Amino acid sequence: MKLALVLWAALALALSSSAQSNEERAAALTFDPARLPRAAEGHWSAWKPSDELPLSVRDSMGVALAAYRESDYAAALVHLHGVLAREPDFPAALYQLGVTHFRLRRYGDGAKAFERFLAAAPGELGATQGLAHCYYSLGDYPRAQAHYERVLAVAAASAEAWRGLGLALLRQGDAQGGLARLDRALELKPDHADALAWRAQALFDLGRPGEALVPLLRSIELAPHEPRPWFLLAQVQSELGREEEAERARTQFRELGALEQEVRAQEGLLLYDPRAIEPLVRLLKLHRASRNSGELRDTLARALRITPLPLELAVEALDSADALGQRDVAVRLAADLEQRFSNTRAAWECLARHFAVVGDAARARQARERAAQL
Amino acid sequence: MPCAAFLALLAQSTPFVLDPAALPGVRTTCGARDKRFIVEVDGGGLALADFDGDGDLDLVVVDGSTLERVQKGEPGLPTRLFLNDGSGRFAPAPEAWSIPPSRWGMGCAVGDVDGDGWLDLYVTHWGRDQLLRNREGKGFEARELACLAGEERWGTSAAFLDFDRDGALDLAVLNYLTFELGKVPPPGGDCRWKGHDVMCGPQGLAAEHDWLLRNQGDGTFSDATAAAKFAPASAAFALGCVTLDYDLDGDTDLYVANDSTPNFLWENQGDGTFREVGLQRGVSHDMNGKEQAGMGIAVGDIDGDRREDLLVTNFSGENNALYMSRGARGFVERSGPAGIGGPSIARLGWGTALADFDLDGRLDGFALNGHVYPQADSPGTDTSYAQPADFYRGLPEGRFAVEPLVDGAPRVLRASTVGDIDGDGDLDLVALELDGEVLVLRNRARTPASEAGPQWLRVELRSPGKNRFALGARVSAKWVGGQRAVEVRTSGGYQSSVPPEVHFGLGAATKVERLEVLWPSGRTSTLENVEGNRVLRIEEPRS
Repeated sequence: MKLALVLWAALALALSSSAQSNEERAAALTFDPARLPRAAEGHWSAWKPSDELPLSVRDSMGVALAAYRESDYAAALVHLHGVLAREPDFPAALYQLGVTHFRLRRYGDGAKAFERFLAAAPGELGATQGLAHCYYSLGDYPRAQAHYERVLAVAAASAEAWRGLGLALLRQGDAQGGLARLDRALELKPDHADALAWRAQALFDLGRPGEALVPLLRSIELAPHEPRPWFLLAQVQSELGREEEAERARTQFRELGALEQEVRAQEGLLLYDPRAIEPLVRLLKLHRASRNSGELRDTLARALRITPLPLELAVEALDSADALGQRDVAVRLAADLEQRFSNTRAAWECLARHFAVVGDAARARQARERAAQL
Repeated sequence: MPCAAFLALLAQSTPFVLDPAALPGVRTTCGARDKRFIVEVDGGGLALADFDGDGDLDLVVVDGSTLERVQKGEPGLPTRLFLNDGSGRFAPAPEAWSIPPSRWGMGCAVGDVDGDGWLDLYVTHWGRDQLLRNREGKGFEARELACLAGEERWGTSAAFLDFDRDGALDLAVLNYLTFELGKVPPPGGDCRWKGHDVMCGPQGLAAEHDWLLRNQGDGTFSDATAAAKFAPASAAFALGCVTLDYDLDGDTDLYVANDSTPNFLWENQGDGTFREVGLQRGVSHDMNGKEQAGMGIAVGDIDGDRREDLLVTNFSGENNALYMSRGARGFVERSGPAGIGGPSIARLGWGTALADFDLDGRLDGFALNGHVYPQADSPGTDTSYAQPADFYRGLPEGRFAVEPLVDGAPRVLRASTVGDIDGDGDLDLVALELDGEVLVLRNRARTPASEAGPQWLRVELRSPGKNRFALGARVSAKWVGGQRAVEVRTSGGYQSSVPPEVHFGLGAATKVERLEVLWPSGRTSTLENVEGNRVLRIEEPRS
């Protein structure tokens, strides 16, 4: 099924560029998925994930997947609702609905979609784990635990499931049990930054702050922009009586925490409107300022899906491409900026920076002069 | 009924029942029901205290207003006092107790500001706050504080405390944000939540700094905010506060729950100044290092280690945070192991308290819930506008069982206050429903007629100085099967005030073996073999 979906998704990319109207997207977000029609019991009992997509929903599924991949979750919902109206309880659509709701942080709806999917395909691992994630996010830790255990009963090599199980146990106060499961996750994936941080948390909870330092520092090394390990590091150092080190960790946490808060706010806006210009501009600025190249790369890729780029986003995108050393992208963006915004000061100022970065002093000087004239 | 059987019965059901006859038909208003602006969502305040000196607890209800009234320049709805007839039934107080309306009432705090032995009332507003001086149990006299002349911030909770240890009660007033009609955009635009257009704020609006007002010894106040360094680098959206001596160094600290911004722990430096140490002491964020949207605060010694712990109610999608005290080292967040973390994620909590409601010797708690967005009933929110209130039944080893507080019915609740309104020895609860009734929840752990059943002790303190009700005193009790320390305070919950007394549930024990009082003056009193099931008043020794 995966190959078929990928092919159809590729075909659908073109279609998805004609984005859903705002009204359709808004309607999809206020639609209660519980109102989707149900199939007769046993209707999909013979369905297998490798089955071909039914013709009746093939196009819509492709477009939904394409929209999902472009982080346009509301548009994905529009099409998934359409699919499920035509083919009630079609398992592949239910699965995608669960994933999409999870991305939208609508965990209850995500859980319901995965539950309906699992009714047709009992034990399917992806959905079982998705369901576990949903229960965890809803604060239902016992049910999250049960579903992570179901995954592990079949796929004992899933580091993600061991991590999830560890967290579910930690949240229920079983630090020892949580630690053991996190250790299993780290055996399978030693550089799992989040699992390392949670292992440190478990050790701290168990009154072993000295031992918590090693995984914590490794987690920070792997994910230096994450504020949470710094938060825990401050507590650990304080517990060890190293107040100066604790204060340094707090300072780092405050900086990263403030940054993360703003990033979360902007991401929250993009969640429902992935083509909103202001949040994209702001995110590019934030990630560039914090030198978070991973996030900057991802955000730039999201920004470049918008065509044509408005001036403020084009400027920020060019600065970001230069910061990432993406020369081909930068050259293309510079040409676009010069062509479409040649009468704006901001464009020439940006081009002056770009030419300076690429070492073209003459063109940088010319650009500065053009900017000064405007 | 044998005591053990009675305790077993209690363990099976919530101790509260609604008593509609206790306060019939008393409602409050907080804007329109569609909640287009943030000023319409916080609700009013409540206070229980004996204002007329007849030995029972009277009830203050702080009411709000509507945007239409504000636009017309009309005053808000007045704060009202209801007098207790001794049985836990309330009736409107006579005219002498009337309180002139201000723009839009929010919360309140109770304390004896002039040391005359009568409890005074401070009411916060979106608009000018009011101090109501108690004229020796005969009525209120409204005064504006000269030090706040012309100030019209949005006050939320307030707390009386003697921060400078001069014997007179000072006042901390929390302020929320700058709200100007016409300048705050309507729902929509960037004001979205879970894909739905909602009212704007607090994010995107300007937070206001809080105030610390120093009692000049005669019941008048000066603004000590700057001198006491009671101003963080960035203002926060403050909603709830409670006084406590978290580091047990003998002076009163202040904990503040901030909406969408890190919570503050104001550590009293003992020299008339404060230092904000929330992050250092582990009470500013959740265990993930994420700031939460704090609303109300409960305080109590859950594990009997004689250090008070903190419970903070938070926004939906966040767990209520339980910070277990480790003394001067601060706190660790333990809502998960305690069993209240997960179940609180779908809730938006407000009024809260920790007390031994079922009198089994272990602290219980509750959280009043209800969302700020009517849009919470839309698809995909993982929560709802009206929500059931939760009772946290205390279990061994610091764990709680989460049960319905009263009938499991969903309501949009806000402020709460706790006190023994019918004098039967258990603690009753008053809850404010947004745009609805003020509900009296009668505790049936004991009934006035019952001789058997779980035991209790209520302690009232009286000091000879200006802090007559000994706010900040620390009472430690040890009985067969338990021990606990409690500070005397009137702050706590959300926009509310509780009586200046302490209460112990003793379970099956009939007496407190040892009762110690550490007075704010530093003097101590020790009593042994104190019989339970009574109200004990202790006077501070003069030397």
